[in-house]
Amino acid sequence: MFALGISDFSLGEGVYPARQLLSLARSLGYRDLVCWDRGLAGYPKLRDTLEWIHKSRELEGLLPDPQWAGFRLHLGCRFSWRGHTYGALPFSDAGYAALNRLLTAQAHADHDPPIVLPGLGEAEPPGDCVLLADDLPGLDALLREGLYGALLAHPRRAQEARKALAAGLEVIAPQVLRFRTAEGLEMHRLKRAIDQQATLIRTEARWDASEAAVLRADWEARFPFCDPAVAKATAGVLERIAGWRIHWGKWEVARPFGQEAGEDDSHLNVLLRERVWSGVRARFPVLRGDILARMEQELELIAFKGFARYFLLVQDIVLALSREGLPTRICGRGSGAASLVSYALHLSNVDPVDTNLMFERFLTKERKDPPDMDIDFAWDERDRVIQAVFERYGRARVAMVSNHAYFKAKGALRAVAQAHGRPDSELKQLARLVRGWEGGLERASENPAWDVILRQALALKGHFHQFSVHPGGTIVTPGPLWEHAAFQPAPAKESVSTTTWDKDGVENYGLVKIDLLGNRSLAVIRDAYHVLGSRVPRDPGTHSRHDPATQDLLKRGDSIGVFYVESPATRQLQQRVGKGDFETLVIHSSLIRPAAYRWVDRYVKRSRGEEAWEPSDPVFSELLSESFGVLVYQEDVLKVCVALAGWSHFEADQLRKLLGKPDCEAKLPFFEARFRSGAATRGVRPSTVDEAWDMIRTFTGYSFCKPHSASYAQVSFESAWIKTHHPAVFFASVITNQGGYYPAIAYLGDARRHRLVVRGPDANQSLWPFSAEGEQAVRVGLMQVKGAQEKEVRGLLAEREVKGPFAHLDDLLGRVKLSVPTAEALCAAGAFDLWAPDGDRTRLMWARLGGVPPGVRPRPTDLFDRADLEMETMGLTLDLHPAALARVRKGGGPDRAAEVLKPNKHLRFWALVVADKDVATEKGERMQFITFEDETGLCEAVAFPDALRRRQRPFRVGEIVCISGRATRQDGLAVLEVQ
Amino acid sequence: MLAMWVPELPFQLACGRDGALRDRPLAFLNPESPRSPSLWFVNRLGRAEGLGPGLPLDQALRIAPGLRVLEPSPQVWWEAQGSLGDFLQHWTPQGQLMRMGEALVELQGTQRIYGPLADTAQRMRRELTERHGWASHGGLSLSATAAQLAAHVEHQLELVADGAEATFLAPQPLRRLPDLAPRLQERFHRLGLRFFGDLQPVPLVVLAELVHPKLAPDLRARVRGEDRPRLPLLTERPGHARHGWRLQPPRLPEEVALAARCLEWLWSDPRHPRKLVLRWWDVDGEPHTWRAAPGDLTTPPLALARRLQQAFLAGATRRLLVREVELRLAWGLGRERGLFQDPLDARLDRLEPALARLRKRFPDQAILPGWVGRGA
Repeated sequence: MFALGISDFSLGEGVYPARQLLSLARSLGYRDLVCWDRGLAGYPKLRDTLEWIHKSRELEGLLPDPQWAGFRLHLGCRFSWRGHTYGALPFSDAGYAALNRLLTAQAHADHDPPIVLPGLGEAEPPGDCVLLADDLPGLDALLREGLYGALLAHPRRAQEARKALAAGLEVIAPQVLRFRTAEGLEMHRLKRAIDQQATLIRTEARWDASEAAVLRADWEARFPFCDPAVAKATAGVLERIAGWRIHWGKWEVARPFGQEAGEDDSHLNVLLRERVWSGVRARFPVLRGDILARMEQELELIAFKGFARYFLLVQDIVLALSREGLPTRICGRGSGAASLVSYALHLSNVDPVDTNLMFERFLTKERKDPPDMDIDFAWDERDRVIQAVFERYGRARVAMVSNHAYFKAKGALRAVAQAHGRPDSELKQLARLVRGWEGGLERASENPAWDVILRQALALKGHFHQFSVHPGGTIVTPGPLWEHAAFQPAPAKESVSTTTWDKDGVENYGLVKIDLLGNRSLAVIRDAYHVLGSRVPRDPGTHSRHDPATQDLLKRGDSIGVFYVESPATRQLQQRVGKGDFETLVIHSSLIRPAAYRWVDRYVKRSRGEEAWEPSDPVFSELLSESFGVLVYQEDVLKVCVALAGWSHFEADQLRKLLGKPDCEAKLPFFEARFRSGAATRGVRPSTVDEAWDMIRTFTGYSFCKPHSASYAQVSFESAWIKTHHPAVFFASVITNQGGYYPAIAYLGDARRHRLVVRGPDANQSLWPFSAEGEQAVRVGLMQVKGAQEKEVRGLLAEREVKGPFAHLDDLLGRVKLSVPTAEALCAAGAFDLWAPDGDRTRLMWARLGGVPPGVRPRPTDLFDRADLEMETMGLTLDLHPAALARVRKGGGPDRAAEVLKPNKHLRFWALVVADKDVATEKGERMQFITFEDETGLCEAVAFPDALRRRQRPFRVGEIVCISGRATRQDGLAVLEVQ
Repeated sequence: MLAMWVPELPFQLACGRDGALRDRPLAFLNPESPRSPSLWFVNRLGRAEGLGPGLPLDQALRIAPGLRVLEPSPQVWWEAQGSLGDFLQHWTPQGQLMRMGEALVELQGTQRIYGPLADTAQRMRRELTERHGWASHGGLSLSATAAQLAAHVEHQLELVADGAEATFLAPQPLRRLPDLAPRLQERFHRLGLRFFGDLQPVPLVVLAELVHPKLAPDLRARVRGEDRPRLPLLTERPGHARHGWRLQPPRLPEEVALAARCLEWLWSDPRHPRKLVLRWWDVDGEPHTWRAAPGDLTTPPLALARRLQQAFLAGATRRLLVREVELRLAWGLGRERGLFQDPLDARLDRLEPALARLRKRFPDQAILPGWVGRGA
C-alpha cells in the first residue's frame, strides 16, 4: 500500500522537507510514496533527495541500503475545482500533460487580470489520472460531469465512506502523511501564520491532532481499510500508477524559429555546419589544422548529442533581436563560451583554441544533464530581450525558470518573530545578533522571550519559503510547455510566465535553459563606444588585450570602475602579482573567491618566484602549471579528480556541480570519502590528497570555469582600455550606469586622481546622464540631483535642445515651469551656478520666488554650505571632500589617508567609507576590510574583531568617520590596521 | 501671556529625592532597549561632557566616569506635570501644558486680583519653588512664541514689552521655533533664512509658496511675535478625559484586557460619554485609532466596554505587539467652559449628580442625557 506525503512545498501547510518526509514514510513502513502537495513544485526535490540517498551509499562504496531498496516515489498532486478539493495521480504521459494543463490554466486564470494562453483551454479535471475526491459532494460533482473518481477516505468521516460504498462507489484509503508529533502540528500552525501573515495566537490549525501519521500496520487496521473493497481499490490504484514513469532526463530542446518541420535533426546538423564554417572563416584569418580539428570534433559531438538545435535556437534569438536593433552588445559566458561553435556563431567573444578552453566542460558524450549557455546583455536591454523571446516563440512555449527560496537563518528568524508579533526594532536587533554582532546568538538566547522564537526558527531553517524568478533562466520547448511542466504567471512581471520548478528541477527533467542575463558593464562599454565613435579600434577586444598601457593600468591595480576587477581584493592581487596580461587576469578573476584566500598567498609567492613550487605529485605539474599548482578553475577540479582519484568525467562533474549548491556541506563528505579511496587505490601520497582536497574545498560557494573567466576578462580589458585612453568618457559612463562596487563619489574621486576635472551640474551644459567634456573633464548629469522631478528636468533639457541655451535664470524660469522643490533642488545642486560667479546659491534660489523681497537679507552661501547642499542633493561634493568638511567642522584627525604609505606611523584622520566587506575569522568572529577615502587618496584598511568590538558596529559605505590606526605594510601593500 | 519653563524637570525631581545627585552628570536609561542599554535623557552637565541620547551605556561611562545613570520613571514625571497644571490653575483658568516642564498660561485679566503681571509671574515662580522645590523661569509677552522663547532664555523672568516682540525674536535662530517641520527648516536654511529676523520681512504671498498656504499666515504671525492664541482651559474636568495605559511588557492584542480596564475608566466617572476614541500604538510606534459610533455611546458601560474590546481586536491586525493604549473621552453633560460660563452649561452641570446617581442605580441601562434623548 502507499502513502500520500505532504511536503513543505504545500505553502502554509506542509511540515516536512523532502528528506524528513521520505524518512517518515519509510519509518512508518511504506515503500510507495505519492507526492501530495498542492501543485507539482516539490516533486523534483523529493526525487532528487531519494536519488541522493542511493547515491551517497554508492559514493561510500557500500551496497544499496536494504531499508531503501524498492522504495518508489510517485507523482501526484492536489488541486481545487469548483470549490471542492481533489487529488490527481497520472498514469500516462497524456494524464501528466493534462494535469500540467489544469494547474497552468488555474494559475493563469487566478491572475489579476486573468491571462488566456492560446491552446490552453479551460481548467478541467485531467483525464488519464486517478481522481480522488476529498468528500462526497466533490465526488458527486465529478460524477455529474461524467468523470470517474474515487473517494479518499478519512478516518473522521467513516460515515461518508460507508455511504459511498453502499452506493457502489470506489473508496480508497491511503494514509496522508501530514505530521507525526505535537511539534509537527505546532510547525504547521506556524507555517499557516507565516503564510497568512497573521500572528500565531490568531491562527487556527487546519489539521486536527488526531490526524498525526501512524504506523502503516495501525492505519491498515482501522476503518475503512479493513473493508476488502477499499483494500482492493487502493491496491488497484497503486498498480495503475506504478505502471507509469514520468520520462525524466531526456533532453527537450526547441528547434529554431522557422525550422520546426522535419522528422529528425539531420538538416539542422547540416545547417549548423554551414553556419559554423562561414563563422570560422570570418573569425580566423588563417585556418589552422588545430582549429579545423577542434571544429570537427565539436560538431561531431553536437550531432551525436542532438544539440545542434540548441545552438541554432540561441543564435536565432540573438539574430532576431539584432535585426530589431537589440541587443547592441552581448557576452557569451559560462561553460558555453568554451565552444568553438559558439565563437563561430558570434555567441561568445573569446577564441577557445587560442585561450586553451576545454570543450568537455560544456559537453561530453557521457553528460546526462543538459548544459546551458549564459548570454549577457546590457542591463537596460535585458527585459526587452526576454520579452522579445516570449513574443517570438509564444507564451505557451516559453517560460522563465523560477527560483526556490528556502528559509535561511535570518529569514527564518524574521518570519517566526513576526508570527509572534515581535516588532521591527527587535527584528533588527535579532538580525544583528544572527550576523554575529553584539554578542551573537548566545546573547539572543538569554532573553526568554526570544528562546522559543530561536527554537522555532532553527526548526524552520531549510524549509521551502517562496518562489521568485531566476535572473535570466529561460526555457523554450518544442511543443506546448504544459506537456512537460506546469507554469504560472511570474510575480511582479507582466507578460512573463515562470515554471514552478527551479533550475535543478528543470535541468533534471531535461529542459534546456538559456540564461539571458543583465550586465552593467556592457552598457558602460556600449555608451562609451557610442561617444567615442571612430576612435574605437576596429577589433577592440584584441586591441585592448595587447595594448601595453591597458596592461600597465591593470598591473598597477588602478582598476576602479573596470568590470569585474575593481574590488579592493582583486586590485590588491593585481598589484601583488605585478602582471596585467590577459592570461593573468583570467586566472585572477577566478581566483578571488571567499574560501581561497590561503591559496591566493601561495599563488602570489610562487608567481613572483619567492616560493619554489615543487609539485607534490607529477599530476599537478602537468595540470596546474599555469597557475603554479593552485586550483583556479572548475576544470581544474575535474582534471584533478580524474587524474588523482581515477573518476570518470561525469563523476567529477557531479562534484563540480555540488560545490556550488547550498547543500554542499552535507553532501561533500561522501565525495571526499570517494576521492580519498580512489586516490589511495591509485597509490597517491596522503599529503598530496590532503593538499588537493583542501584546494577543492575552496570552490564551495561560487567558482568559475575558465571560459567564464576568459569571457569576463575580455570585457574587463575593453573596459580597462577605455579607462586608460579615454578616462573622462569612461567615468561618465560608469557613473551613469550605476550599480558599481563603489558609490558615485568614489568614482569621481578616482577621476580626479586621473587628473580629470569634475564639473558640477549646469542648466546649460549638463545632460541627463553624466557626460565627458573633452578628454579632461566629466560633467555631472542632472540625473544625480535628488528632489528634482524627472519630468520637469527632462522638460528643461528638451526646451534647451529646441530653443537653445538659457540666457539667464529669469529666461530659464520664463521658458520652463519648474516647481519650487525642483528649482530648489537644482539650485542647491549648483545647476544654476553659472549665473552666480560668486557661488552664492541663496540669491539664485530666491529667483523662483520673484527675487529677494525688500527688507530680507538672506545669508549668502559659502564654500561649506555648498558642500552640504551638494551632499544633500547629489550624494557627492565638488569643491570640498566630505572628510575635509568633517575635519573643519568637528576638528581632530590631523593626518591624511595618503600617509598610510609611511609604515608603523600612528594615524588619525577623517575619511569617507567607500567600500566595506564583512568576513568571518577562523574562530567565527567578524572582521572587516574597509576602503577609506579622503581628499588625498584611498586607504585600504582592516578592522580586526577587537577593533569592531570596541566600535560596537560595523563600518558602512557612506559613513564619514574619524579613524585611528597604525599604518602597516602587508606584502608590499600599505594597509591601515584600525585600532 | 506667561510661559513657565521648569528646565530638566525629570532631573530636578530626581535631585529633589536625592540631594547627592546635584551638580553631577546624570542620565536616564532608555526603557526601549533593555538588551543593549543606552542613554535616554542626559542633563546639561552630562551633555557638556560629550554625552547624548542614544549613546551606549558602556561608552558613556568611559567618556564620563562620574555619570550617574537613573532608572526612568515616566509615571512620576507625568504626575509632576499634572502638579504643575494644578498649581497654575490656582492662578488662572486658561492655559496649556506643553512639553515636559513647560506651560503657557493667560494672565491677562488677573491684574485686579494679583496686581501687575510681572509681579504675579515672580510670585508664581517663588511659590513653585517653595511648594515643589523646582527652579523655574518665566517669559512674559503678549505673543505666545515670544513668551516661550523668553522663558527659554532662563533669565528667571524675561519681560518682552508690548510692541517689542519682533525685536526680541529677531536674533533667535529659526530652529527654536516650536513645531517647525525639519523639511521647512531645511528649505529656509537653503534660502539663507536662519533667524527669526530673516523671515519676518518675507511677504505673505512668498511665504505661501514656501509652506502650505493655509499655514503661512500663522507662521508669519509667530515669527513676527503677533500670535495671540486663545488658550484652552487648564482643567480637564468639563468635558474631556484621557486615560493612558502603557503596557509593560508589550503584549499581543489578545493579551490586552482592554474591556475590564475600559469598564473601570467608564465607571470611574458617572457622566455619559459624548465621544469615545481609542488609540493604540504598536511597539514600533505606529498609531491606530478607533472611534465609537454614536449608537454605541448610548449603550450601558459594560456593553460599550465589550464593543470596544471587539473593535480593538478587529482593528489590531498588524502582526505586532501593542505597547500603549489610550482612551479619550468627551463627557456628555459637561461642555468645554470658557472664561465666562454659559448659563445652559451651568444648568446641565447641576443635573450631573442626579444623572450619576441614576447610572449607579441602573447599571445595566443606558441613562441618556437630554441632548441624546432628543435626537434619538
